[in-house]
Amino acid sequence: MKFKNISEEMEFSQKRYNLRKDIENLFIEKNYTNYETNIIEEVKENLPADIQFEDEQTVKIIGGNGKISVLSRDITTNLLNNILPNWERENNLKLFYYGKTFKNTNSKILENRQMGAECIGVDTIDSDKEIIQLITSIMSKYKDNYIIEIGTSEYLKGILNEFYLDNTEYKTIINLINKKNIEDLKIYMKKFENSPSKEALLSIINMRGSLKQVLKNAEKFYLNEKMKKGLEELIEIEKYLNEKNLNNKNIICDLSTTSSLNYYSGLMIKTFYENSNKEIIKGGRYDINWDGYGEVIPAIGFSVDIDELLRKIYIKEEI
Amino acid sequence: MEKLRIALPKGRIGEDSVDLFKKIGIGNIINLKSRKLVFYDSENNIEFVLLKNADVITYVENGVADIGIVGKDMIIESKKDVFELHNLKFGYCNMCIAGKKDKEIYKRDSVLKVATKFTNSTKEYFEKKGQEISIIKLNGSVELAPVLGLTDVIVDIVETGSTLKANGLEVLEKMYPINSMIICNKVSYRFKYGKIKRIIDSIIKIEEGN
Repeated sequence: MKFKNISEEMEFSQKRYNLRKDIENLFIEKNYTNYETNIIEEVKENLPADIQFEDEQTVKIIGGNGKISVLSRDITTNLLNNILPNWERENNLKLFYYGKTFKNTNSKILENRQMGAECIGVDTIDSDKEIIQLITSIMSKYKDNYIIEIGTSEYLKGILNEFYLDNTEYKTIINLINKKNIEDLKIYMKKFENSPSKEALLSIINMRGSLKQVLKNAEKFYLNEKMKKGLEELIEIEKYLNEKNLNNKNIICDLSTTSSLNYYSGLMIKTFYENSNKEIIKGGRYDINWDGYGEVIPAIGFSVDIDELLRKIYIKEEI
Repeated sequence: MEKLRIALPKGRIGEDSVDLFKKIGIGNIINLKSRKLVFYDSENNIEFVLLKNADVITYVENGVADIGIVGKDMIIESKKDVFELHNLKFGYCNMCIAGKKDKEIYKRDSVLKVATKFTNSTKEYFEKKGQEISIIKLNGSVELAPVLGLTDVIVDIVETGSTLKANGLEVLEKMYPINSMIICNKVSYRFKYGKIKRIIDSIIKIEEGN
């Protein structure tokens, strides 16, 4: 962000601090502990691949001894890199963080401020509920017109498991669903025999609406264990939202969310403000299946794009 | 009723789009013969903006327009992050490799020189084929490049092939078919889903002859 003068920059900086404190207070009220993450990370070979970033968007640094490190791409992975090697069964962590992430684009290195919360090793459905409640508190604090989009990675993964796809087929289908391109998806799927799972896949882009409506629609299709698991988690969340009177027009369910499908293992959440062109919050369940530990560690969390949130509320002078 | 902004390209695709919108009862106010670039349909609370073809996708990606109509060539070339909601039944053509008759396209042992406006999709296509190329970006009259010896072949949109023929060229290979599409901004999709879906459903009904 560019400023006209120093006083404008100082004002913006103070508002960013206030915003950070506001959200921190929400975390502290729920007994979350602050965790400081590192900016520079080592790539650890013994951790699960799906919790590490290593691609062309990662900013790499070469040290004096020729060893390559990376600038933090995502704070959750940074945090897991630090805590997983010492993980013990009785650990039950509720953490929050504030930090910077870095992304390499064609023209420059982008720096982004991220804040978020993670529940690691905490009983599944209770942590789902707490995370949704925190997200609702943040979104409703600053604007009335927002959308919390809820989905599950397991329903779509369950459908795709039925097809025994090769890598190219998998990527093509995911790309078409990601683009909501239902017509080209229908054309592409012609080479597969008609089946209940094909019918479910071709319906997935339209599985969008209120939780009640989408769950009713999704249950009509063929359900394997993975799909069932995804829907059961959403049914519990619907019950919770109804109990707390939170199941309103701001909550939308969409079963065709594909971003980071391999990373997530259940609930997926994205939130939006109108007139903002980016997600304000994103997160979900990413239970960790790690050979180095031997058991699945339940994990759920979310991150808030502080820069985007501030841009939207600063303009309106709502903070 | 929320306001919707629709970006339309000037030219033939824009004309076909306006005809289609009028058939479903929106945009009756649009007059393409006037010099105006913005038309407001107050009855349906929809604003139409007329843009250069290549700019439609940029306006939609950035959320300035909620939906837009654009050729698939622009979507593939620009790699912009938008939803592709509906294939329209106009704007049909093909992205093709063209050159002088009997020209060999694939030369494993040397670099093929290609003139085009569509540098990204050309690079990707030849990479998949394993052919090393050197791209020369041109902004118009691409057909002249092989005729005057600037490049071996061209990559361009071919509708009827008459421009190629008039310049002594022919299609050597069809890369992919193109049609016009309705694209949508990712945040608008979330906030204005109902209104956008109603427009697309009405268009589908017209296309199916109902």
